[in-house]
Amino acid sequence: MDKKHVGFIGLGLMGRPMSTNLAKAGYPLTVFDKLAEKMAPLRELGAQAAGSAMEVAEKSEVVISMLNDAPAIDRALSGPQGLLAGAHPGLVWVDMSTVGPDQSREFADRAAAAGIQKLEAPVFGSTGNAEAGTLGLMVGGDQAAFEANRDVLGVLGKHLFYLGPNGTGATAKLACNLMVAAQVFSMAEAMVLAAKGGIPLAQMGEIIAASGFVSALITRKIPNMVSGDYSPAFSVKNVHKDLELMVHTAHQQGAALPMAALMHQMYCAAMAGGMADQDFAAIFRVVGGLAGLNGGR
Amino acid sequence: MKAVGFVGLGLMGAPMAANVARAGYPLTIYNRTAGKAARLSELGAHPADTPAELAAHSEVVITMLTDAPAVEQVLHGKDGLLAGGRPGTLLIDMSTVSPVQSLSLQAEVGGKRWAMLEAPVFGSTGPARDGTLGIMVGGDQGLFESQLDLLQAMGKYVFYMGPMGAGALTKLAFNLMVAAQFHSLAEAMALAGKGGVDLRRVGEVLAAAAVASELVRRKIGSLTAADFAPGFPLKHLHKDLGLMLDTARRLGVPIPATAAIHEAFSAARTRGLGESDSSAIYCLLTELSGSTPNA
Repeated sequence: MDKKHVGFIGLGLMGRPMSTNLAKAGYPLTVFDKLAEKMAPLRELGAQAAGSAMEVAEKSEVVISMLNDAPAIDRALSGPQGLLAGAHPGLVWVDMSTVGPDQSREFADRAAAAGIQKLEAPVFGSTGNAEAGTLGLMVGGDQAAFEANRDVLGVLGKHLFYLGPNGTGATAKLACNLMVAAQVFSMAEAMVLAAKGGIPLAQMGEIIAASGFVSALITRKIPNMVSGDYSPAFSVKNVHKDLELMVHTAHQQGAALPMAALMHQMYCAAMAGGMADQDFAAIFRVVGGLAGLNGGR
Repeated sequence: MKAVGFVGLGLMGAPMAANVARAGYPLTIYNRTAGKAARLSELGAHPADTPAELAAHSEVVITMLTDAPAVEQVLHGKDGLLAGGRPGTLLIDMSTVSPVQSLSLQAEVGGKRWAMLEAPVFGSTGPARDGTLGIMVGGDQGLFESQLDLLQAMGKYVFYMGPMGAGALTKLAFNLMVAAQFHSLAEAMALAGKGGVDLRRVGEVLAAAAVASELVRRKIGSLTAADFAPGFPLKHLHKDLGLMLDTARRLGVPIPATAAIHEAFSAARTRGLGESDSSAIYCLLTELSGSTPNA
């Protein structure tokens, strides 16, 4: 059977290695990014660079989008050059961006009105996982459409979880990121408490690394806090956005999430402190600052 | 080999004392409730009737108790450790207490010319049984080095942290992250449950993600099965959270997330969840969200 024609919109830190894997797996690929220069490396791998999201849709059976937030998705969907303008029967749109469940359902409704299926498939994993094709995908939407595109999604991720209708994948992603934020935030509090009591950060890091609560995430973030190097793997502004979605979603659903709300406020402080583009482990600087530590140390 | 006394044969203390006996130390044991001593006697440990009698037989006394008041209780009184021990006895307190409490215990035993190390542990009953605990030691460094062999009979990771109080502080910083994992897992599950997502599926997602620590993997099972049989009783973690806040206040360190978690644990205790596992904090969050743990 011939491989499906795949489209990919959004060639950022995650989108670029993900689309690269699709090209390498031999899928005929059409890509679009609003910054034309980001399409060059994919063109070298044989992908077609499109002039618009509409053109991507027209040339594809399945279109994947990996964008920053709901406004960016809205821009890619709407207007005469938008994805929906290129709708044709049988097209499936898989949005892998992190958005709220209400936003995801709204996009699904708009897609349905244009006569196409929409799946949500937000991911967990780092840029390293994106390169290795070992992401986790939390899929919501029509189950048959998911099964029909398992081959394409399996190129991007090792763990494929089908959760239910549109909105369930988005909710699982927010639940996952709640724990991501909490592990790093609590490590910041633990490190500041230890540092203020005279325990060297490096030694505290060794102990955390030997514990039963150490995770792959914590292992990666210990060196950031010990060295004070916050080159971004996952930025403050992205975590801030996700916390906002969690608090908003919890509010809508009537769920009480006191820790998420508190972390949201602290990440507001990190944004106000000019740390938007640093790694989210820089929350250590905010917590340290409250305790009168200079730069968190 | 030095004569060792071990006070507190609970879930952690009993297997730790057994490892001390197996390492060949002449061992005297004491527990408030006597029945717990039977299996250790088979390993050659001598049960004492009172803490004083235990101290009279020991060069090193190890305490592994619930909290600082429990340590105070075995130290003092006519049957207490201090009444029976000779000057030069060493107390190694392995209970989880605050730095201030540790310093105050040191002052009290110092009055009888005893020495002291604090050596709180990390790891659950499994590592206690296997002798693979982590031990965070505070106190005089020379004294620490002279007891390394004994500590290594119980633990695989032995860290010297600094003067008295440094070990206790490290343990509290450590448990801060433990409490946050219990609490954030509960919030994540409460959010997903209220949003109508199958909790078992969410559990599978979390277990595959970068946040999946050993602790998180174990507790996902408790939450999805709504089985809160105590591994780490909620009342104990609540006590530790109180010690963290007290210590942070003294050091001038705001720890806002820990404060919020402490309040949530207070509410959970008020609702009678103190004897349940700490993962029962999930019951509080589902209640606050107007749903049930089996959502």
